[in-house]
Amino acid sequence: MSSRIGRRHPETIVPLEDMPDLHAPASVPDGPVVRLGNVGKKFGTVTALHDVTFEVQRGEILGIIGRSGAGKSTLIRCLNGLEKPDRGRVEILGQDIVPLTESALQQVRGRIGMIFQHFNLLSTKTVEQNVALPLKIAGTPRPERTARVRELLELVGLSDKAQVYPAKLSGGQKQRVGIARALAAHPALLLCDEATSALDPETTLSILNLLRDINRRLGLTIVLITHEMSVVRAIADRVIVMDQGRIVEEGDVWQVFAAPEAALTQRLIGSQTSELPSALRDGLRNDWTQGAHLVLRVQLSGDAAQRPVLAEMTRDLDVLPVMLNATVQHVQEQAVASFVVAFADAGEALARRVGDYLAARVSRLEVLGYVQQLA
Amino acid sequence: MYSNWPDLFLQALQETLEMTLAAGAIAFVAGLPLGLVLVASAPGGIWEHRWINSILGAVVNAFRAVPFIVLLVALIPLTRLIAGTSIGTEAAIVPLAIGATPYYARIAEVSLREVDQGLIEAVKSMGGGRWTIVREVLVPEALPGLLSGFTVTLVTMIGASAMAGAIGGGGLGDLAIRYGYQRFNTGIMVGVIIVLIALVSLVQLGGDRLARLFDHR
Repeated sequence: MSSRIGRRHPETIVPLEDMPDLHAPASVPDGPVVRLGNVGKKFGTVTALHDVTFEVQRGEILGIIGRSGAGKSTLIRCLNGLEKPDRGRVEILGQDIVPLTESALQQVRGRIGMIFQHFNLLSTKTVEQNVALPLKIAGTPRPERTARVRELLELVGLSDKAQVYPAKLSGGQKQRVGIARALAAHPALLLCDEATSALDPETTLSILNLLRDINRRLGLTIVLITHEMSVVRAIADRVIVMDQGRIVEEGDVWQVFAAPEAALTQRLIGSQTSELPSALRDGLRNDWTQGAHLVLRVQLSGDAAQRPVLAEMTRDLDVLPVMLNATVQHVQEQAVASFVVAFADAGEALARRVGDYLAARVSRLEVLGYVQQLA
Repeated sequence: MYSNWPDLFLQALQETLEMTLAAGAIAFVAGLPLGLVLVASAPGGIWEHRWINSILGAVVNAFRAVPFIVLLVALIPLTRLIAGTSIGTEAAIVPLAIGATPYYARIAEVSLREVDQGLIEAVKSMGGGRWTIVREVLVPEALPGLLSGFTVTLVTMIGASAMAGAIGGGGLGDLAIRYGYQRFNTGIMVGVIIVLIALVSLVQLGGDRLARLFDHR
């Protein structure tokens, strides 16, 4: 069983209950924080974004996943006007930012925090000065700045590093500074551009933990782009899968995990579901021959995952499945179970009976084929 | 050897320092903004202006293409206009500064261009404008390179100031030519070379120290 966030790590932050109270973010109008309508963008002859439409609700964590070149970087840059789409609307807090002038855009960007894959901390400024920079830009008076920076460094667990230059920090610490800096000016939206892609798995987990905690505590809306399904699974509420500038799949993360529709999504999730041992996979045939085993992949999610489906089938159909592989993951507190089972000497009649029985009870059923030897 | 050689050396050294430091200061003050404009106006820069970029680039190249000794003579009318005279140490400062400014502008341009684009993007994403980017990112992040580049410029100018003798600017180079070469005084020649080596080493050492002081990478 793969664990969701919540494990304690050496770098884990101070529990949030012990944190000083952060001022509530400046007022956010009702309605979605982000609303994209038919956004298109071309670079020369290459279409980076094609007719992209989606919304991000307040307090939500949206994960945008895709391979490199899928257009997700361009997309996230459209959200704070670092990139201007050729067509469509990009509404931030109800305001279309596409037609805005550079100076009007600067105002909007002041309400949007951003963190980066390579942290992008200024090497000539101390941690404290880095975190204070958005406040300096916003024109916050110095005493207020100092107080806010202290609060933020406590939030990310780096109070003792205030006077240190970024070069002296580890990758995880740099990203914590990046997060503190992005949060400094009370943003209504946080953009994460492959924020954990340069970090090792354990540090990744601690950074994702921190982002999740901040999301829950401050109700901060987060849009993150990544090429790693594990990141989406760990913290996102909703996921958008992008391929060649288009949205190919969109939905609640656990549902997409349970029943991925697009081929790309299936590939991205693939490594996270039950796979057949390679020896068995090579022995798979499409047609039944005398003595062959029927091999099925079954997926259960949501309510179905709470029921003893296989045990019931054993009782009802009087069949004895052999378990070849199984995983149960918890995504957004929803169990998503996936297993591969085999039925001995299963001719066409039995195959149909098992198939009909399971199809009515599981989330997803896949006939992988027939195999003579299980070992 | 001339009995007054210590005075000759001291005066020449003073003239050299006067010319290089004054012209160097002007080159720094004028060259840095020029370098900034070259970087900012380049394609993809924070103040993209194709025309300004190519015109400025062409002017800088033109000045850098002219050998300094030619520039020294060609600029005589301008020198007379600015310094009131076309001969002497003060007069030599004008062509020296004009020659060194584009030189330093190019060096500054290279340092400024090497600043990580990600840092500029980060400050943009905070709502920072062009001036903020120049003040908080470009100049501070490039500072070690800007200082090292200035050291290189100063050393080059110490060399170039030797030619200032052609318009009566004096200095160490002039001393070596007039006494060491034209009067066959090897002692003075060797002496000048030793002083020049010491001077250049000192400038380089100081420049390196200063650059390291601002380098936090």
